[in-house]
Amino acid sequence: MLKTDKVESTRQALHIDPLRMCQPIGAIYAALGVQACMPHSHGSSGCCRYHKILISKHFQKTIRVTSSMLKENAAIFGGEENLKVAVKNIFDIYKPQIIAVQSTCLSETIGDHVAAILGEIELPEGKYLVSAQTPSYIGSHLTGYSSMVEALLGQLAVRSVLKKKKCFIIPGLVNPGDIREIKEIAASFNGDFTVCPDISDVFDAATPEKQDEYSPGGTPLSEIISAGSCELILALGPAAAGAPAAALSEKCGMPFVTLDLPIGIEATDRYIRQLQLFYGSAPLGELKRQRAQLVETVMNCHPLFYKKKAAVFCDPDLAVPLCEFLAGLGMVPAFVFTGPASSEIDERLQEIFARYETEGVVQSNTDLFELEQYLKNEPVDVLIGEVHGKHLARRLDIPLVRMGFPITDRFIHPYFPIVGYRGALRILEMLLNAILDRADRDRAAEELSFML
Amino acid sequence: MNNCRQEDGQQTLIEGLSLNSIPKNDNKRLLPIPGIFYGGGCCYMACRGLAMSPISDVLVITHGPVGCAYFSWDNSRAQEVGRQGSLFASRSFSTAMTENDVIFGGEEKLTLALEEAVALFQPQAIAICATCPVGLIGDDIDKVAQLAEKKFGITVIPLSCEGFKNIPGYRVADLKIVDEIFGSKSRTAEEFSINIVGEFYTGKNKQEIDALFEQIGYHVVSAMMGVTTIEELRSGHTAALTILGSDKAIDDVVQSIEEKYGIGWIKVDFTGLSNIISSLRGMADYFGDQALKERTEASIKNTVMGLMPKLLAYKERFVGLTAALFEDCFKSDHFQAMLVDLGVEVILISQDYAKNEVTNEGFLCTLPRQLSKRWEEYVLFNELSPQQENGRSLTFLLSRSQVREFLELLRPDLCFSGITQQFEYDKKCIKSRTFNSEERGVQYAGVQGFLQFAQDLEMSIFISHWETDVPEWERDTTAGELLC
Repeated sequence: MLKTDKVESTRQALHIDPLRMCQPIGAIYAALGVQACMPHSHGSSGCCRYHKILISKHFQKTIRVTSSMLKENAAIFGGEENLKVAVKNIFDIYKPQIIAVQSTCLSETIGDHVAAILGEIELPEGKYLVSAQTPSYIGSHLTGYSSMVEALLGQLAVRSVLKKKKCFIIPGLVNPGDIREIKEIAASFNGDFTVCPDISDVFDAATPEKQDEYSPGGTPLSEIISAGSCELILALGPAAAGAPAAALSEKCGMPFVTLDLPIGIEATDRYIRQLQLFYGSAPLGELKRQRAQLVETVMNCHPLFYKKKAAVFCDPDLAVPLCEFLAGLGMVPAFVFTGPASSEIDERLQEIFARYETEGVVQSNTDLFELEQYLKNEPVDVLIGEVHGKHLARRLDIPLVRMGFPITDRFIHPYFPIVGYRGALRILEMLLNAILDRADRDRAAEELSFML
Repeated sequence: MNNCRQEDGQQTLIEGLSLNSIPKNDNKRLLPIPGIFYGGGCCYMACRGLAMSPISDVLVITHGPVGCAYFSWDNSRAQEVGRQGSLFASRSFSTAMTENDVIFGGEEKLTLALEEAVALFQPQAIAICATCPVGLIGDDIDKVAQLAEKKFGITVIPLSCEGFKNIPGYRVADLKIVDEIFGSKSRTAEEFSINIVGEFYTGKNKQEIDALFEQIGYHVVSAMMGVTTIEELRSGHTAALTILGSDKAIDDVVQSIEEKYGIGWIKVDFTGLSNIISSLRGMADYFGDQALKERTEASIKNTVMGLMPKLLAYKERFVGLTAALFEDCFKSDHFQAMLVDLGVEVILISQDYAKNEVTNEGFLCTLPRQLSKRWEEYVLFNELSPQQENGRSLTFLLSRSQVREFLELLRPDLCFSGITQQFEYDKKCIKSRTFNSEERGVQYAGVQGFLQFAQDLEMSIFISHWETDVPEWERDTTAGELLC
C-alpha cells in the first residue's frame, strides 16, 4: 500500500504532484494581457501546446500562441533561423502589433541569445518585439509572469519627466473577473489609471473570428509606452508583480508600492486606502455599501466558520491574503502549501496567525504529496486550491473549493471575482456551500432541516 | 415471410454500410512551420501521454523541469471501466530539475528519485521519460536505469523522448517495449489472441470492444497506446495477430513485431459503423476460421440491428446536410467516416499543413466531383491543377485564402473547426463546433461512440441557434408600439 500516512518520508529528489508550473506559461498569461499581442514560445512545439491547452481549458476558450518549433537541428545549430522565420510568418499572417517572445528550457540550454537575435530583425513600421528570459528550470509560473511584465515595461516604457496624476497598476496572476473588480474599484476614485497586464475582455470576451483579429481587451501599447508618465506604481501581489514594479520604478523614476492581492476585507481595505492616499479623495459609488454588506454577512455566518480547519494550496500571492481572511472569519488555516518558492510567505503568515491567535503549517517550494501526508495525520474540513487537488479530495474525502490557476474542470468561474468586497462575498459563499453541503450529506435523513 | 424480408433489409443495410468504407489517406502529415499555429505536440508529450500513461502499473518519472510533469499530469488516458484506477496514473512524478541540475548534470538526482519512488510505492516497473534539457546536457539515463534495475530488481525503462526529437514519442516508447518487454514472460498461447495498437482502447471504448471481442472469441493479450499492464505486455509475443487502429505513423512498430516474433498485422478502425464492420470482417478473414467468421457476422448483425432504429432516425434528421472538415488531418478521416454513415455529405476535407515552401502554409483539400458545378469555374479561372484525383473526388493544394473562397462557394451547413481555429467562418450561415474528442473528453470509437457522435452532431446543428441570431432590439432601435 502507499506509504502516505507517515510524515517522516522525506524526499530530496522525487517531486510528486507538483504545485507549480514552469515559467513560459506565466509569460504567455501576461503577454495575452497586452492588446494585439501574440505570445511566441521559442522552444519545441510541445511547450506551446501544453501551455495553450492548459490556459484554454481554464478559460474554456481558444487562445493563440505560436512556437518556433525547434527540432533536432535547432538543438545542434541553435534556433536563430527558426525564430527569424517565425517572426516573419507571424507578422505576415496574424498581423499582431507586438510579439512577446519567451524562451524555454530548450532554447536556454542550447544557449540561444533571444534578445540579440530579435535585435537583428528589421521590424515593420509600428510593430514591436519584446523578449523575456524564462527558462523552465528556474522559478515557477509566477517568475515567468513577472519576467514577461518586466520585459514588456522595461523594453517599451519610455522615461518621462512630465508626470501625470495617474496610477499604474500591475496585478498578479488572476482571472478576468478579478481584473474587472480591481479596475472598478480604482475607477471609483474618478482618477486616471492603467492596468497592465489586463486580461479582461481577452479571456472573458468572444473569441475573435478572424485569424488576424484580436480581442478588444488587453492593455493598449500606448499605455505601456507612456507608463513613465505615471506618478505611482501599484503592484498587487509581491511574487508576481513586485519585481516588474521595482524595475519600472528604477527605470522611470517614480515610487512603487507593493500590496497583497485585494482578497478579503483587510487586503481590500489596504488597496482602497492606498488609492485614496494617492488620489486624495473619497471613493465615489458604492464601495461603502459593499463593505457594509460584506461585514454584516460575515457577522451573520461566522459561527459556521468558527474553528473550521482549511488546507490551502495555491500561489503565495493568493495564499497570504486568503489566509488573512480565513483567520479573520475564525477559521484555522491549518496547512498553507505553495509550489513556488517564496522567501516571505512564512513570515507574513506567522504574523497573521499571531494576530488572529491561530496557527498552521506553512511550506513553500513543496508539492501536493507532502500536503497529503500531513492531511492523513490531521484531516481538515475543507481544501482550497486548484484543480489538481481533485484526486486528493477524493482520496481523503474532503470537499475541495476551487480557487487559483488552473481550474480546468469547471465553467464560468473566471468571469467572477474573488478580489474586492464582492469577491470576498463570493469566497464566503463558495466556502459555506462546500462546508454545508458536506454537513448535509453526512447528516442522517431525519436530521435534515430546511434551516441552518 | 415478413421475418425474411426484415432480414434482407438488414443485410442490405450492412452491405450498404460496408460500401461506405473510405480508403484512408496514409500520406498525411503535420508539418511544423515556425510561427504558424500547429496542433501537434512534442516527442515527450506523445511518449509520456500516449504511450506510457495507459500502462497502469508503470510508474513514470519525468526527468526534467517540473513544468513538463505538471502539464502531462492527466489520467484520462489510463481509465478503465470496472477496474480500480491505476495506482500511479493520478499522480505526477518528476525530478523537478533546477538550474544546478542543468549545470552539473541530473544523473545523481534521478538515481535518488528512483530510490525514493521504489521506497514509497514499490512499483514493478518504472519508466524514465527524458525532457529537452536532459538530452542537451547529456545525462546517461540508460546507465542510471541499468544500475537501478540491478539494485532494486525491478524493470526500469529509460526513454529518450526529449521534446525536440524528430522521431515521434510513441514510437520511442513502443519500439522499446517491443524490443525489451515483449517476450520476457511466456504464456500459453490462446486461439485467436491479438495485440492491439491504438489509442482508442481506453475507458468506455475498451469495455465495449472487450465485450464485442469476447462475443466473437478473440483474446486480447496486450495493448499499445491503449490501457494495459506491464504484465500483459511481457507476454505480447504470444499473440497471433496485431491489429493496428492508430492514427499515428506507427507502422514500423507493428512491422518490427512481425519481424521479431512473426506476428502478422492488419489495419483496423473502430470509428464509424462501416469501419467497425469492415475491421471485424478483416480480422476474421485473417484467421480464416469458418466458425469465427460466422460469429463475426452474427455479431455484426446483432450490432446493426440494435442500432437500426436510431440510425434511421438520425439519417432522416440529417438528410441533405453538408459538412466541411478542418480538424487536424488525423481526425478528419474519422469524422468523414462517421458523417458518411450518418448520411451527411462531406464536401470539403482539409488536410492541414501540407506546405509547398518553407514559409508557406498549404492545405490539401479534397472536393467531391458531384459538386463540381459550384467550383469548376473557380478552378479553371485560377488555373488550379489537382494533386490527386480519383473517381469520386479531386484533391488540390490550396492556400489559406483559396480555402476561404471555396468555403464561400460550397457553403457547408457545418464546419468542423478543430482547436487550432484555422479558418474564420461567416457565422450567419456556417456553424462551427469543436468536435475534437481529445479536447472535449469524448471518445467516438465503437458503437456507443458513434451514437455519441450522432447526438453531438444533432446538438450542434439543431440546438445552438443563439450564436447565429441577432436579437430584435439590436436589429431595430427605433421607438414603436409596446408589445403589451
